Amino acid sequence: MPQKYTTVGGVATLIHHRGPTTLPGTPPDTSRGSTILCLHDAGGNGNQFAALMDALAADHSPVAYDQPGHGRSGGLDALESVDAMAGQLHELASGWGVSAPVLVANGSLGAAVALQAAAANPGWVKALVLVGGATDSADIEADIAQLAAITSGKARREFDRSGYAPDTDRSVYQRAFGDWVKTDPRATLGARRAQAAWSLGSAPDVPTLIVVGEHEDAATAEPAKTLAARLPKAAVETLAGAGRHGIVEQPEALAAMITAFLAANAGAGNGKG
Amino acid sequence: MMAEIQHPLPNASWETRGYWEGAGRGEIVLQRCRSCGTVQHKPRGVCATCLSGDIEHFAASGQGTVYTFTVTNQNMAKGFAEACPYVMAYVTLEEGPRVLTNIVGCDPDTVIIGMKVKADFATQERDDGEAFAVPRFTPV
Amino acid sequence: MSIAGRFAIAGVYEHPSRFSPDKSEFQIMAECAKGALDDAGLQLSDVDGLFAASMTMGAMGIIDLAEYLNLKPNYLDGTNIGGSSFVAHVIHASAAINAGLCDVALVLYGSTAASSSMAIGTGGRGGAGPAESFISPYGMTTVGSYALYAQLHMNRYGTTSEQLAEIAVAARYHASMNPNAKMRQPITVDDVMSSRVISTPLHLLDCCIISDGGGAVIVTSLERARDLRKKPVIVLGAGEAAVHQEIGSPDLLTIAAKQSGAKAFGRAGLTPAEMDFAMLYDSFTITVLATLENLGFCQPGEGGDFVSGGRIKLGGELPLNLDGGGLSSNHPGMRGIFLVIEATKQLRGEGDVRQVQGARLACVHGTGGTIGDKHSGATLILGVE
Repeated sequence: MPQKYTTVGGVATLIHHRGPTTLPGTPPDTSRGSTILCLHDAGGNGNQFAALMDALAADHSPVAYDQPGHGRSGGLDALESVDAMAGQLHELASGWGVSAPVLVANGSLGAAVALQAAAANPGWVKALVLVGGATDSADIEADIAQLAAITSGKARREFDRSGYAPDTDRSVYQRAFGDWVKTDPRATLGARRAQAAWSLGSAPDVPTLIVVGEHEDAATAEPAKTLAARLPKAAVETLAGAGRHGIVEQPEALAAMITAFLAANAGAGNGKG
Repeated sequence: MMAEIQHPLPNASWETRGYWEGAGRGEIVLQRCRSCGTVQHKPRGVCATCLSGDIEHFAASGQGTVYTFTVTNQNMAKGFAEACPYVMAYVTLEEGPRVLTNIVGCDPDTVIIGMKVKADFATQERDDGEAFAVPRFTPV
Repeated sequence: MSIAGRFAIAGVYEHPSRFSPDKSEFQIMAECAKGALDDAGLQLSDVDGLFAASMTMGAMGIIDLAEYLNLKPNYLDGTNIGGSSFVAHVIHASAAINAGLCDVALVLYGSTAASSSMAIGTGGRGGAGPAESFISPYGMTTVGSYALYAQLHMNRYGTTSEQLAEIAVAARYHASMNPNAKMRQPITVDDVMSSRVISTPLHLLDCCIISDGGGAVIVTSLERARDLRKKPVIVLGAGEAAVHQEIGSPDLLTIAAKQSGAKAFGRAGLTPAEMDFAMLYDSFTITVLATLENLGFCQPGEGGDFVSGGRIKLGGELPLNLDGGGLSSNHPGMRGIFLVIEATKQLRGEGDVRQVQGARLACVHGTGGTIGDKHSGATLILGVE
């Protein structure tokens, strides 16, 4: 699948894209439909969106990237704040001349970066899609404590098998494991700490689709609904056959949901985005 | 309870075959140079002390002492990942040579330097028909 | 004629990155070559001797590298004796220049061990060939091999895990002053002791980190070095050695440093007590302790006391591994080149906030392979005019 490196903020950043390849040092092709920028969660990476991007590629220009310290991008550490992460996203995309991106975000950190990018750049983001939604602060502190134990060598990192639908195939877990090992827990810890320190200021006035998995645990499904209530133009939809990991569990159904959402919201899906 | 170590299959050359066939018979086979009397291990086609080719093989007693050891908690290699924690050790044989090995058949926490041990042999499935085994040691 | 006092390190460069997923090994080497050449005030076209080793360069690897750099050297040396290779390369370069076989030697190392996810410490070692068959059935790992050494040392001399931990604490303290080091948060003895035990008695924090990285060193005659940009760092003494499971079951606690160190100090006409600091290969805390004893900085068995009480920290009697070492700065699988680079910077007075005051003499010792099994040792005594 086409990939290229670009340098953002001095960090070698891996970009995953679809469509025709382009010369090194030049932007990926974003001529088809909307430019859909995919934001991974803490500890994740752009390759997690591979199947989703395949499904969106015919009609749109999906692009994913690995944050600093994550996946196959350079750097040892995550960026220090959600604000910096949103800033990096904006710098990256603006550098390519992307003017009205759709942001598809996975997990609670992905959602935070997407919301911050939309709020900090009024009129820039065309639409938001948040998948595998918000986590409440009690969970995040436990997550941070566990990551701190791992990074100080007291505990071993273990792959988290929770949050998937009961019928999700083993091959999905195996691929997820392969992506999980790519990121050092040090970066995941930094990203979660950045997330814990962030809160949404003014809600962005952007059409927002919040996707909740049919089998998603109440611990993440409920906060997702609470978030939807805070945003002026948000709707919640259920993704059948998925838990919290819809982007890898039901990529084609999710792609269809996104395409329909974009079509129903003014201007999405036509022309350069 | 951790799994038994699944030792990777050893492979022999003409120089080392005597050792592995010996293990298959339940023997620790060592070499002695007929010219200078040196007892050597690992097996070679020549004496490493005087370079003579006049080497004889003999079955050692199988008795030894733990020279040093370690209890390994993390090894991702096949055959060992599930066997952690396992004991790796150097054992000094009665006849003089020191061998790398595993200590099995006891709680890893009971192994100490100076412990008396004797050879034990793990037979293995092979599809080349060789009658080799892997020597390791257990407390006496 | 002896090489002592007549050859110098004229340029050095350490790659700043610890994680470079977008670069190849050779690219890292080439970036370091440029840095070292700029440091010396030389051009690539000045280089006529090429010395390099890496985790992936096999037979003919040095020719592949010559192609990548578009070099046609008069002298080639791909000696690979493990992590000490680059210390040995400086010795070999001095000998080659001394023999008139080349004039400007470029020593290179590069690695993507971290971004290529090499499980250097805890992947199994030993292949399946006849010779390896005496090792591979037994679950030998690099950590395990060093653990065998540490266990015996503790049994014989009463050395404690707390004493080994002091080595890790000192390395991290130095790394906290190195902006490029991978791990910079200071740690305490308790932090080391509470990290999980990988193979008894070694804890996670007794073990080196894994990183990407690389470095370059340029060696010339002292006369030539005096004409270049920086103060020459002079080779005063050199020695190499190998240790293996020789016939007669030697004392496991004697490592190659005993033989190579004796040669190096002897040839330099100097003693350990005269050193202002030392750069000692620190794949593990125990490696440093074993090296101190075997080089003669202290008696066998006294290593535990020697590393306690602040002696090996900046400001102490014998600061070690001022860059933070393999324990905290970088360890891409082989780290001998970083020993030479940091020693050179310190002796030039370029140590910045981690400068050893008045540093004029240094001992550099690389260990290649594993103590507790087969390993090499290469020792340099370096000084300035």
